[in-house]
Amino acid sequence: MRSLYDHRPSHAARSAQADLVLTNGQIYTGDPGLPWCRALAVAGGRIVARGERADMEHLIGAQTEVTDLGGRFAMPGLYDMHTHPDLALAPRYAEDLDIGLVDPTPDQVRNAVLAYAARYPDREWIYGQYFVRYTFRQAGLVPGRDWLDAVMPDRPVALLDRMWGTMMVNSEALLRAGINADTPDPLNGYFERDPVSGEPTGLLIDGAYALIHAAMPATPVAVLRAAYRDGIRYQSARGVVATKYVHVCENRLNALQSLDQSGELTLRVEAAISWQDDIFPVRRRWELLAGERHYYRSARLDASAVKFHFDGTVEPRSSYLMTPWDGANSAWRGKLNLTPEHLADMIWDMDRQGIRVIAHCTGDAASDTFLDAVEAARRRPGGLGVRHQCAHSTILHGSNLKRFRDLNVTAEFSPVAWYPSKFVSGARSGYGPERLSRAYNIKGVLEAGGVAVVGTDWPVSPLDPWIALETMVTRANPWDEAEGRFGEPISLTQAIDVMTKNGAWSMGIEHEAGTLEIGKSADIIVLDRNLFEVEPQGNIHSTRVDLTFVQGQLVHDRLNGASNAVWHGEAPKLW
Amino acid sequence: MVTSAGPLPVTVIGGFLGAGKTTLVNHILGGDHGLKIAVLVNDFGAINIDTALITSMEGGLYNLSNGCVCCGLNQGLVEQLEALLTERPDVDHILIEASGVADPGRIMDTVLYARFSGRLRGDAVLVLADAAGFDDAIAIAPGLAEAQVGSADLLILNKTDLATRDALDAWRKRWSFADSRIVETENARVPFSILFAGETLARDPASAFAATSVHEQAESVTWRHHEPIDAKRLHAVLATLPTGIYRAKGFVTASDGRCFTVHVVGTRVTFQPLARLPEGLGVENLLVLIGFGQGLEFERILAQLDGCAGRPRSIENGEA
Repeated sequence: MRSLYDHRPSHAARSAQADLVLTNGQIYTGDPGLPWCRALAVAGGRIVARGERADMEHLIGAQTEVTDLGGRFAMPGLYDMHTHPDLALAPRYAEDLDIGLVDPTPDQVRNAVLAYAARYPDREWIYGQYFVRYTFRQAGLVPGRDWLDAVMPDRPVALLDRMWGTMMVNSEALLRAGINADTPDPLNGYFERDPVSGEPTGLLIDGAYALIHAAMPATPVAVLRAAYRDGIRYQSARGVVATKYVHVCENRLNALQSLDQSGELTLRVEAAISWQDDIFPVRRRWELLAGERHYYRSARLDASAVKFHFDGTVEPRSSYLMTPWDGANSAWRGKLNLTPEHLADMIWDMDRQGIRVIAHCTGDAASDTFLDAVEAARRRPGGLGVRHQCAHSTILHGSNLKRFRDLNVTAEFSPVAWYPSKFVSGARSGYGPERLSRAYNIKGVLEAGGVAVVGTDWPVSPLDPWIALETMVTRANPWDEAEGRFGEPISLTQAIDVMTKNGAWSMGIEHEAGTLEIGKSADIIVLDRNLFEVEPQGNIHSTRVDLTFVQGQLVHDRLNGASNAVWHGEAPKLW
Repeated sequence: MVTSAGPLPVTVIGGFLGAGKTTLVNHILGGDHGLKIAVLVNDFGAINIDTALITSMEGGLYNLSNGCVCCGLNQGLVEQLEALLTERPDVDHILIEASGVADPGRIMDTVLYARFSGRLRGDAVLVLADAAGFDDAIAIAPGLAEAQVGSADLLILNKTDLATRDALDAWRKRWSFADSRIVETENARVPFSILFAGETLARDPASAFAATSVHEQAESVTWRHHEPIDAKRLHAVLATLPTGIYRAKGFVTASDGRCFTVHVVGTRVTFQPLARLPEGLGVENLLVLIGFGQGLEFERILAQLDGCAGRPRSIENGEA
């Protein structure tokens, strides 16, 4: 929490000199009043002067760090407004049991469980993968609680099968999860039961193992901290100065706060607390939302947001659509996960507490219903007019484009399928040609006066924001892996706005960040190429970020390992 | 013979591409089994339905002149099953053709979801294997053969006409479990009495069987008993029946007074709670067992079943 020590009371004496002066650059400010300058001065984390080097001379003192950019291009840092480094990386640090065999025999499974138990005597649960039903049948054995109880009677054990469709647990695990003959099956799975007694056999199918996950200890803070740290290091090295981690719980907030306090939270983070338990159980959700979230607040961290899945996705055809998925062949239009009434009351209630609602809406009927709920909330008394966020906005109905402006709602798009790729021609073609032709309508939202932002949504698409920036301009495959163009491109200037000042607007900080203007936060990136001078296709995504400054602090230095940056060198390889 | 309208039985057909799934589906759709069967196919284009058989098309369902229904799995499986249950309550049996690269057990998992409880019953996972081309197929997708064979209640070793007896025996040795039921077929002509015995008990099993190329003869035996049984013990007996027994169906009364419909298909044993025994059953426990081949040891099985009841059976031996 570097900013706590650096905080300067408003009436304290201020230095007449700059902390940092950047000279000899091609600096794109994003400010239409002065789009370009060659030098910038920074004091107290904010930009205090723009112009030529000569304009900065009076600000340069003995303590001023002067950096010659050598003619390089600089611009405001990028905003990634929806991503999940924790989900992608935490499993690498969790050290769960991994038997590591293609077809482990029951004996091998037993030995692995016993070895793991001996190695981790203090771990409450033994959790991991995997067993194979085939080898159990081959051995004439029945997988389930009886078999597992014989292996490990006193510590709870949960093992996934290779297809991740079945979990085998022992009696102790069932006991701790409170699963018995009277436990009703969830809608999206079931407990395999003894046909006569109804007692669970210890095999849990699909949605049924959420109950086991809920009974297990939450992912430890140390694991989450390591995962976030890798993600943050990557994001800083790729020029991201602000991000939204949508889906957090108490442990995740503690992990982020720990990084903040050790000076490793090198970007601004808006953390959205999960409204549902569908990704991981959120303990003490209501305490967090009611006020505990303020304890995490700093210049870099803000947990005043919630996230939930309003509809599904394209692959299982659960996006909620205006018209049936399959034309005249069936009436199936997808589904909502919350009632519209639940949503309307929730948005109003969150709005009056100043909490942003980030709603996963892939289908056009989901975003339509979400916008209706925001509109209703705006009419009710007590609301603060928080800028809520329509996440993904994959398919938008034409009539809703202008409502983003009218209702002050952010339209967030993820690049996963807005350019041609195998994924688009495969899974995404499920939307059908008509809907696909208007998918990811960034241009439509912008033309209607609304605010569009980008969220990489890693691990759904790569954490690298430059792929998104290039493909917004080209709507073509950056690596020539697929031909053609997909959707309506926007200009480079528009795309930079989407990934900088629009992000700041969606975080409610556009008056203090997002462009390089006097008085605003010095969130600056220095690149190895001038984006306005290269052919976008094939060249923007491979941009390298030489320097990243956040609030005037050098957080990433690609070339000079001896500088006082927090991170040095190339971005780590994460996938 | 008495039958009762219970949950709709569902058969999942799995196996690699080229194992004969489509041939089997066509064999069923065009077959003379007197049942209204709904077939959910993974790739609708591959099913070459004789257009003369199609009488109408509504809401993505093709109605065939023999009362069968066919539709593609082009929306989610859950939704397709819901739609079928709503729109065609008259069907007798549902068949789901799994993709060649799928684990059919995962599809059966969905059928067994609580939302379908009381409406659908998992009848069996049938896995076809191309006797001649199995080794080529498994090389393409490692681990998939184990997943498919591992989830099979019944294995159909198909295209036996293209393989030697030695090759067939080698396949059995490599891929069968101690409790595996394996039906050998040519052109995927699985006897209807194996596919649908639960529904055809009222008919003459021999007629359904006549059109098939299986060399063995189906045999059946009926067990009747007037005394309530120990359901747990009965379950244990049914779960370890000799592999010559492919199906069993009936009704039982447990010693605590509860009644069940019992289904055995290959290695799958299901006890479905029942409010009361069907009218006119005339006995507390009745099971019809169907088997193939030599040495079915019916007498030994009947003795084991008797052992589940308090007193000896009153009717010595029934007929199919």
